Amino acid sequence: MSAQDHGTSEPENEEDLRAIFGQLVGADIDAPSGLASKRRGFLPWHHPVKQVVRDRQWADLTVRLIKARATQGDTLRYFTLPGADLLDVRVLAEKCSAINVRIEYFGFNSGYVAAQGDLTELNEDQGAWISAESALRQANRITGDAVILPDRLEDIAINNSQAAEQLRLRDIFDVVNIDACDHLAYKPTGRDVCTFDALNAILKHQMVAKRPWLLFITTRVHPDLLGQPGLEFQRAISENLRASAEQFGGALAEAIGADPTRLLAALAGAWASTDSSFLKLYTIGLGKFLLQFFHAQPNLPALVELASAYAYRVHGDQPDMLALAFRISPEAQRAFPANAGGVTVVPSLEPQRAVKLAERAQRLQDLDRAMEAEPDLRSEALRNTESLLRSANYDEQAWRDWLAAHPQRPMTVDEVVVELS
Amino acid sequence: MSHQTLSRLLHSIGGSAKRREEGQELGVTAKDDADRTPKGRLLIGKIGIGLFSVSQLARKFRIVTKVKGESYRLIAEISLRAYSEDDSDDDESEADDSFISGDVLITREHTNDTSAHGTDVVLDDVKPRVRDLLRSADRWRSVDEKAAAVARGDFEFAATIRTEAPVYHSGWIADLGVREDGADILSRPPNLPWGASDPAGSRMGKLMDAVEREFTKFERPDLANTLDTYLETIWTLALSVPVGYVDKHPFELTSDASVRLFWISNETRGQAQELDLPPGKTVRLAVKEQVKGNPDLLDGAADPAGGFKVTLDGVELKRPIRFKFIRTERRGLEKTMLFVGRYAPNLHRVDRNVTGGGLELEGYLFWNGRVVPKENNGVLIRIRGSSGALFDPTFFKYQISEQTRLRQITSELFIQRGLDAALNIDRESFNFSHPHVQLVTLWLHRAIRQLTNKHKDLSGRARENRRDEEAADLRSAVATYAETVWRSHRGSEPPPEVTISPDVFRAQEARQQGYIAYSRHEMPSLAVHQSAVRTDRDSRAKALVQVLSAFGVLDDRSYEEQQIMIDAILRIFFEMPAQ
Repeated sequence: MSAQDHGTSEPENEEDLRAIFGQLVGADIDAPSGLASKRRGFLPWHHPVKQVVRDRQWADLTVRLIKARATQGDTLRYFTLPGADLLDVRVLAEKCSAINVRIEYFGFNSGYVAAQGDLTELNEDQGAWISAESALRQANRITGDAVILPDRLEDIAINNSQAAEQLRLRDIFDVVNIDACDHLAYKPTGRDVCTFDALNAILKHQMVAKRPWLLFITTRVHPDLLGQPGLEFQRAISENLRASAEQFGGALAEAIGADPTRLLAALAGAWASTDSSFLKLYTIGLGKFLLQFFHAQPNLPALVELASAYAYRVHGDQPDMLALAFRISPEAQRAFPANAGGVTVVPSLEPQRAVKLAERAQRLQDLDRAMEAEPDLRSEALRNTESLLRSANYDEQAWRDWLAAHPQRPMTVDEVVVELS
Repeated sequence: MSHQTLSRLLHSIGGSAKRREEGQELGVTAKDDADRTPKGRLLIGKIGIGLFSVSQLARKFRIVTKVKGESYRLIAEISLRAYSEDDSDDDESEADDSFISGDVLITREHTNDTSAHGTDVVLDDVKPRVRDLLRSADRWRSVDEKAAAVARGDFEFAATIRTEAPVYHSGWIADLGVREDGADILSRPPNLPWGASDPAGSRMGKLMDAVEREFTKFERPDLANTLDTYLETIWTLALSVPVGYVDKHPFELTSDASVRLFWISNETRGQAQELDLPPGKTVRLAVKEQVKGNPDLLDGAADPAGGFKVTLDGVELKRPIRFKFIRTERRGLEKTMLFVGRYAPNLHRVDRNVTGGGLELEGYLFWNGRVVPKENNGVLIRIRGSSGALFDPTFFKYQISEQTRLRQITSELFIQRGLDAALNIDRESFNFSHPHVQLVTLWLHRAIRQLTNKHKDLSGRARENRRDEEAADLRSAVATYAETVWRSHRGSEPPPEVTISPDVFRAQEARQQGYIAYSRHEMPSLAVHQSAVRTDRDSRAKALVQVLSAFGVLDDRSYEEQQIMIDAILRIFFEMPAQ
């Protein structure tokens, strides 16, 4: 007979029980998640338009970066925010393995937190993540040190946070991929910092890089969601206009299709619009911010170039996601004489570089239009997405059905095959 | 793993197919030798304790496995129940009289990558208590409690908490998981001995450097004070796994190591033979060239099946044992001593029913002025390169009183044949009634005797050579008395040399020269101006330290704590100088 039967059991001390057993709820925690079934939960990044970004922006530029290195090495240090399927890592790993490079990734996936969310979905995600990581490891495509932590990206901007400390313990990355589902001003619940603050923390971490690295930023953009980063971008552009009204002003006007003599009014209009002028202006603003950041480090200067710029639709009828790639090339460290005092002369390269940035932003590509106009691109994106999702244990037919009924950009796989044949 | 192997594994946690014919059928072992892997390396596991231990850390774990050439991988998801003998807990077991140990779901996932292969065991639900153990939660909570008591002025309560924060650690989050929305904030940021850009291969060396640096604070720095459980776990794992050394294998040492080399005699009353270690030659080579029979020392030689490389959280594990000289006696030996040997008793004359099979081993005993950290003092037995236990500081219960010398020895025995059957089920301790344990003990104790004899001989000669110096060093009556006390408790071992330095900085310097050194600045009872009084007090303080050392009172106390203790005693007898 147990103590409970005698009515002599101790009053329940939940703190003790949690310390020993963790979650106290019953059998559901221990129930196997049922990996057997194919995955059917589709999200915006399962659309083929995202595959173009993965293939043509992230993978191609990364391979080019590796090939351009004087000493190639066999490891790519990659900062990422992957979903449970590690889709970005799979694509990069495939390209990198062809040149005998393994990926050592580090990043965050706050979805992987046992205390939150629906348990069934969580179990399915955990299973998918473990399976994806094992597959990559067993194929020798990632190193044993690759790790994803369950913190939020934004936590790296918080002093003494576990996320910030873990980042501090890591070396410089070759590629930083901030693939944000939301906008840069987004503040997660319970935090007073936004994604843009996390970008700043990453830039500080990368400041001492000695060789070129890539920064990929995918972000939702809308005039109503500009927030603090938007103000910073506007300030960066205004300051540049004051320093180089003619050169930079001309390039900027051309980029957003404005009359150079009425640029200020056009700028105000573009910041409030939802057309391509807004997207280009945002791109230039973000690029200008990066240029200013590195220009403000007199000892550790770096060249910032816009290497690729795409836009596509996720939430509305107009393109509202930007996928930008910046190549950041550290320049030789500058040493100032001991007697320079508080006044030093820093070469004023920034306005000229800003002109190039504006010229490149003008060529921002609307991926949805490109896919409509180029059957080859569409078919490649469809084929590669399907293959990627198959490798991640997704139900192909369910994906085709989801894609055909997509509210913004429905696509039919068979249609493309017919067109090609 | 194939599905047959996986199925066998899951149905028999705590019962390995290795080293059995069944293992050959499952492809776990070589086709012609159940004792080796398919590639020819001697198998380490035996009774299935590896997977059993995983089940101790997490209730739920997954195995993802793929065989080269196959177009699928297998994923096993395992949930284990806690073992219970309380009938009221389990209606199902009562019904059919069988205990249900857990559930497993195995699924098969297609892959185009047929060349991929390997097995991952992923613990995705580590038990809360295990996590708390690994992050030193009890220790940090105690440290926090002490700090809080000090902050509110409750010094009496604070003094009752003797827990100290580790010097090197992975950080501490006091309210981990308490806030559902919000970042986890470190109450104490980590203090790791390596930097972000230090490569994995150099980190174990940095960890060792960090522990060795504690030398100026403790006579015998230890892991428990210096490291948190996380770093100590890395250390312990590095000692256990069959990997290389932080610097060099002892058989690869050369004359640069400032070591005197001896060959251990296997004769009952034999004495060790000193070998030359000419520049450029390794211990292994010197043994082959100078020892009768030209023996080959095999341990640490290239592994034909490729060596192990184990990386944990960015740290490549390497055995944290170094063979560099640390001086403890100002007038002691000028070099370390390395005793190496090989033992393969001829058991053919004994009835095979009682031998327990053949036994072969190689080993070394390394004498140093001080073993740092103190956990590296003792003997560690490696079977097939790995060990489930730490160093045994009793040296298999060596009975002769050699308190100081035994504390100066690090020894590893590399078992090449036998002894495995004498390991108890916990894989840590040995069955002392097994003949192999008795043979190993005899050999080890004989080797220790050879080492201590040689050490007595060499240090005696060193002392004789310095007799003039000793004679000039006038002994006060109190010093002579302290030496008498020392000898009556420690025999022929030389007493520690004590010095009172003007300040902490110079005390630390003196400790590196082999002194027990205290700072006068921190000891008010010795900070007197009159020269004669000061000399008298110093000599009494030194004598007191020698007497307390003879009784082992100062063992394992930091120099700072020793200083406080000595000063406290002296204040009882001496008048304090006017402020």
